[in-house]
This record gives sequence, structure tokens and C-alpha cells, in this order.
Amino acid sequence: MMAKLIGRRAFSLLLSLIAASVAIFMVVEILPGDPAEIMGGMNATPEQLDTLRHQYGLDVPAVPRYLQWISGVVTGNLGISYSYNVPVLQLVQERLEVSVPLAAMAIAISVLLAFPVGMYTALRNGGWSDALLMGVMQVWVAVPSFLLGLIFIFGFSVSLRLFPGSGFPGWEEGAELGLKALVLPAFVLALPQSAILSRVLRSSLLDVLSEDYIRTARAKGLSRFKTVWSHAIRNSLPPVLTILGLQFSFLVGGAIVVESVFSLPGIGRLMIQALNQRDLVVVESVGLLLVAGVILVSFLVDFIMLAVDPRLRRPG
Amino acid sequence: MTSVFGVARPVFFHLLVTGFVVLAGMLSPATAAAGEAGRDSVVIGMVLEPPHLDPTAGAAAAIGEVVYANVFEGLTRIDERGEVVPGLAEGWDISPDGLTYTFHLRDRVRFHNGYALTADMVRQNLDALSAPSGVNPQKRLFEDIESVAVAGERTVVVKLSRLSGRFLFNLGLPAALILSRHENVDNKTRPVGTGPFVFSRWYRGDRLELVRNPDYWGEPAALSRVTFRFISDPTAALAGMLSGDIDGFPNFPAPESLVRFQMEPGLRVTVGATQGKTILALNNARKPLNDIRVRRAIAHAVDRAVVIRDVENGAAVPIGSHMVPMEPGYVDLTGFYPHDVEKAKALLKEAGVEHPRIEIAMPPPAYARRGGEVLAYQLEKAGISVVLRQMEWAEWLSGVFHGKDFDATVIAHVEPFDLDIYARPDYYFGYDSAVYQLIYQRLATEMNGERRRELVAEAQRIIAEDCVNVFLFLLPKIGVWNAKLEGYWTNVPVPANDMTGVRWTVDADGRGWWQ
Repeated sequence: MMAKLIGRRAFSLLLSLIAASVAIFMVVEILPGDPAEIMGGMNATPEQLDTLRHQYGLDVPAVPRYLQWISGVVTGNLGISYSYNVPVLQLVQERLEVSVPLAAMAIAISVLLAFPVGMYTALRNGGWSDALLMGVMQVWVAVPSFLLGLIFIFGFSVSLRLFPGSGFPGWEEGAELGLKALVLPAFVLALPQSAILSRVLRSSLLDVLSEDYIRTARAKGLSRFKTVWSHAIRNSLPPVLTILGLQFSFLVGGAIVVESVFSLPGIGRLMIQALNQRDLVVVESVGLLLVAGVILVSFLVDFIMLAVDPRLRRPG
Repeated sequence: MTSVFGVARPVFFHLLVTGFVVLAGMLSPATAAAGEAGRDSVVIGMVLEPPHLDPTAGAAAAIGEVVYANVFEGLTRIDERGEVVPGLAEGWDISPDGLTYTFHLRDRVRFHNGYALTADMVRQNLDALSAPSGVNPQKRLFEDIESVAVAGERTVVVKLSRLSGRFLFNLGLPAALILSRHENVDNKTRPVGTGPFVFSRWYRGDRLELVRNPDYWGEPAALSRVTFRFISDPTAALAGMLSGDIDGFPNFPAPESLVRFQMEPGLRVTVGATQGKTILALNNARKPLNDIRVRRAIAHAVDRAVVIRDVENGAAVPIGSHMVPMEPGYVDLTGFYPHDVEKAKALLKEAGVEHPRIEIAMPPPAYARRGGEVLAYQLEKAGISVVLRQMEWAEWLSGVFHGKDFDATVIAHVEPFDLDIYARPDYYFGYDSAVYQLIYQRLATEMNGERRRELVAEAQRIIAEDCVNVFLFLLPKIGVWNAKLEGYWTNVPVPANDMTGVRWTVDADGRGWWQ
């Protein structure tokens, strides 16, 4: 049963990846601007440009070029960056050292904030503290992240001098300095997410709390806390997990903005820089990598859901 | 339903409080790490990142801004005032006919890989400058080198085919720096030079680190480490300076932030000059701009003083032709087309196009984006309708510069002494004048200083008279620095951030405040 499910999911995952790779390649193809002209600079002669185009395989027709790229990706060769002349894989690895901890921190902060707030407001439904907390959380969704980023920089970095507001020192300077550099951007990424998450948890919890079995549990004499903890929470998790999975892709998108505002060397900024310099290999490979990441996470979330909710395992 | 769960207060309040305590803990400043009392490293901000680090193989100004005088040194060196001083050559003799230069190299100079600087290594470098198959971005400047010979352990003799008044200056340019040509050296990714700083690491897209060269032949640098950080976003640059994460931004991208910086006692703002001739380039080969009356109408419609006020916060020198005021032979032509809207309208009427429509292409720099907007407003007052088009560099290079598919564009030409571009009919603005080409031909071969100056003046006048482009201002170099830093350049005669003499003043306590 499980094996069949996994097989079906894996197949659709593969299809999505292929579709994504074709779409990315096509979008990159129709971008205006010629990478050779960027590499050659203002004084390049037409002959120099031709040499560059040939050197980087830009004169190969689209279909063989696509196949070349894909076969490289499959064998772990993401190509050589046009603008830096180093393997794309090396660039990506350097960037993941920042992006992965940043995303992890953001998700952790988002969950740590959302759960207490969601539970508290659900239990105080309709009260003034519910309205106040939910109102405050709403603000984080409403403020665009670049603005939130600037407010944080000017508040916590320029004025209060609590955290650095720009750049990343590198892990070799010590974990403490590295983590401090990620605190503000992680909060900027996490706050809107935690707002959405707490809302979903609140309404899901409210639904569950109105179920008959909760009343039965209470009638049996179970304490309030025990009832919530062992009956309500677990049953209100599925929608929360779905949202959490979706948020991963928002994290990727949000990271592009946040990494620019805080000038962090993450994957998002790599993508923007590569686009501006028409470093097409980087754009394609990193784009595909991000898509693969998002698809994989939603795949994982599906399985966690199966574990949490036995009803999904029923053949249907 | 809330009746069942009215209160679960203790637990949830506990959770909330714990959460806030954890967060508050993260927010509190860490205690100062034990470390040396004086600070001896700096973080320098740059807008553009170099594509690679070999100045003899690429024209990007950012290459020189990282390596010039820091990693690599030339035979001569150009100082902050633009004057030629000795570099790796401690002296030189020039033959009476002016065609033979004998350079005497310094003693005990070593490359960062341990090899000594030899006359032969210098010869290899000079030979590469003018090699027919070479990729040197300034190749045309060194075409006159006839031969390079080693005449002793520390003596190199260069013979020129023609007199060249700028030869010593040209040898001090980034493109003529002396690089290690030893085996297994890739100067593009791990440069090996003789300078006071050694290349350490490069996190592409983010930062590049140089460390002090302990075996430097001259006085060792005061700084033990220089980190160049690449930040193209003006807001992020502003934040980095204000938060103290960046110690100096030699060429700050947003002049409107000047006022903000001047309010900070801990920062110092410097305004210097560059070679950047900022112009509204016009497509001389396309209607209606191929009509000189239309071009002149545009020039009359532009109010240069307002452009400078609005684009560069008033901190820029106006220009009237394609020439910087520091250059010998400069003539002030800023009054050639005084701001006169009525005259502009009359000229358009005469040309039979009372309401022309032109598109202004705007590449990413602030001077172009803001300049385009200010110019559009001014041109519209003279009846010219303007369409503004924002472009990335990629699109600008292929569409405007190579494709010549444009009406007008705001752009700064940063190459020093580049009158030659007006003698090239295939250049992007499409100016084709037999008279100018003749004058330029004579200028290129004229050796007499007085006569050269006359020709330079003549060339400027023709360009202004033909109104090839609308000449706006000299791009200023606005630097923002930590007030406790000293010894940096204010002007940029060459693309460089010479860190050799940069140091923290004695009372600089600190490492970054967050450390």
C-alpha cells in the first residue's frame, strides 16, 4: 500500500521536475541580452564575441544545449559560471552555507511564535487579548518584507546596535558572529509566516475544540491541558503542516528580497546577480535546484501528513 | 465551545513568557570578545564586483579597484593627484631622442609566491601589453612599443617607434601592472603580485579578502586585512554604512544619502572627481536626431545646473564637451548651448519636427535613472515628448551599445582621454564627420605639446558645435568613510582603491561594535 503510494508520488515528482526544467530553459532562452557581450565588455570586437560564444557553447542550437545541460545536472555537473569561471556547484555550496541556516532559523522562529499565539488565541477566542494578538500578527503579513527589513535594520542595527544590519562575516569567523548576522533577516522572513501559521492553527484548533469527542474527553474528567495536548493539537495539525510546507516556497521567494536588503550571500542573491549578468548557466541550474527543493519539501510534508493522519492511508 | 475551554492560562502564559525570554536573550548584545585593543582591518564597500582579477585581461574598473597598488604594482605608479611616481622601477632614463626608456628595477622585490622580481619577468609583462594576439584592454595605448630588452639583472630597456608623451603615465595604469607569469599562476582567480597585500579569499558575489604581505619590499601596510564587499543595492549600502558594518564606501551609489551621512558625527563624506563624462548620448544616425537642429534644440532645452542639482545633489562639475577640466588643452564650452526653451522650440520648428518623440534608455546607475527623469521633464517643456526606458546592463550593452537600437541614453564614459570614439563612425552614437576624423588623425601623431593642446581644443569645439551628444557633468566620486580612518584617496585618476596608506587613527578603539 505504502510502496504504491510512494511510487505514484515519486513519478509525479519526476514529471514536475522535467516540466520545470523545460520551463526554466525556455524562459532563459527568451531573455534579452547576450552573455558574451557582458563578458566581453564595451571594447570587445565582433571576433572576440564570436570566440566567447563558441567557448561557452552559446552557438549550439537550443535543443542539444538543453540535453547537454540536463545530462550534466543528472550527473552532478551543474556547469561553469560564465561570469566567475568557477563551477556552479561551488557557488551553490558557498551560498547554501548561508541560505540553509537562514531558512532553518526562520522556520524555527515562525513555529516557535505561531504555536503559543495560535493556541492562546484559540482558547481565548473572542476575547480582547485574542483580537489584540491576531491584530498584531496581521501587521507582519501586511508590511512588505523589504520595508520590514529596513525597519529592523534601522531599529535594531543602526539605532540600538544590537545586531549587524548588513553582510555575513563567514562561519570561519565563529558561529556566534555568523548566527548574529542571520538573526534580523531570519525574523523578517519568519514574522509574516508565523502570522499566517498562527491564524491557521487558531482556526483549525477552534474547529477541533467544537468536536464531540473533546467534550467527551472533558466529561471523562481529563484536565483542560491534557485534552488540548493529547486530543486537540494532533487533530488540528494537518492544515498547519500543509501551510508549513507551502511556506517553504515562500521562504525561497522571500529570501531573494531579504538577502538583498541585508546583503547576505545566499542563494536568492546569487539568482538575482546571475540574472543581471546573464550568467545563464547559474540561472538555469540554481532555478532548477530551487524548484527541486520546493517539490521535495512538499513531498516530505505529504509523508508527514500520512504519519499524522491515519485516514489518509486508507485506500480511496 | 469556549465555555469548555475558558482558561488554560498557566500553561499558555508559561509558553508565551518562555518564548519571549528566549527571544530577549537572543536580542541582548553579546559581551565584547577578548581581542587586540587596536583595530587593524577594514571593510570597504564597492558597487560592482570584478568579473576576475587580472587587470591585463579585462577592462572592468572593479578589477583595478581591488588589485591596483594593493596586490599588483606597475613600473610606475599614479598617485592621488594623477601624477607619475616611481613604482617597481625606482628610476628611469630617457634617451635624448625620447624613444628609448631605461628602467632601473628596485632591489629585493618578491612576488607573493616567493619568486624574485627579475628584469626578464618585467620584459614578459611588457611584451604581453602590445602582443598582436594579446587581450590587454588598453592595447592601443601600447602599440608604440617596438622592443623590450633585458640589459642586466635589474635593468629593462624599452624602445618606442614613436614619441609618446603619456608613456610613463600609461605604464602606471591598471592594464600595465606587473603580474607573476610563473607556471601554475592564474591571476584571474588567485592573483600573484608584488604589492603590500596578498590575495586571500573570494566569496563570489559577496566579498573578497586581502591580507598584509609580511615580506613587502617597502613599508608594510598598516592594515592586516582588507575586505571588499560588493553591494549594488543603494539602500543596503546606506544601511551598511550607518550600522558600522562597512568602514568605507569610496564610491557611494546614492548621492541623496549625503545629507543623511553628514548628520552622523562618526562618518566623513568626501567629494572627489573622476574621469566619468556623463552625457545624454544621441543617436546621430537616426531620425530625427540626425538633424543637427534637433540635437541643438535638445541641448538648449537642457538646464545643466538643474540636472546637477537634482541628480548629484549639486556636487558635480559641468562639462560642455567630451573632456575633463584637468586635461591639458581643456576648453570651457559649458556656455555653448545656454538653457533657452524658446530657442529650442524655434530650432525644432525650423527642422520641421515641432513635437519629436524620443526614447531615453536608462541603464541601472542612479545618475542614469534619475538623469533620465530630470531630462525628460526638461525636454517636454520644449515640446519634445520623451519615453523613458529602464534597462539592465545586459540589455543596454546588447541593445544600445552593440545594437545601436536607441534614440538617446544617459551614460558616463569613464575612460581617460577618449576623444578617439568620436572618430569612429561605427561607434554607438553614430557620429561621422570627415573634419573631426582629420583633426583626430593629426592629434594622434602630433608630438609638439603646444600644437597638441590646440588640436585637443579644436576637437572639443567640433564635437560641441556638431552637438554630437548633450554634455552634462563630470561624475563625482562621493566617498563615505568612518571618521577614524585616514590615508585613503579622494580623487580617482585611475580606477583604484589604494589601501597602502590607510590606517585607523590612534584613538580608534574598536573592532565592530557587535564583536
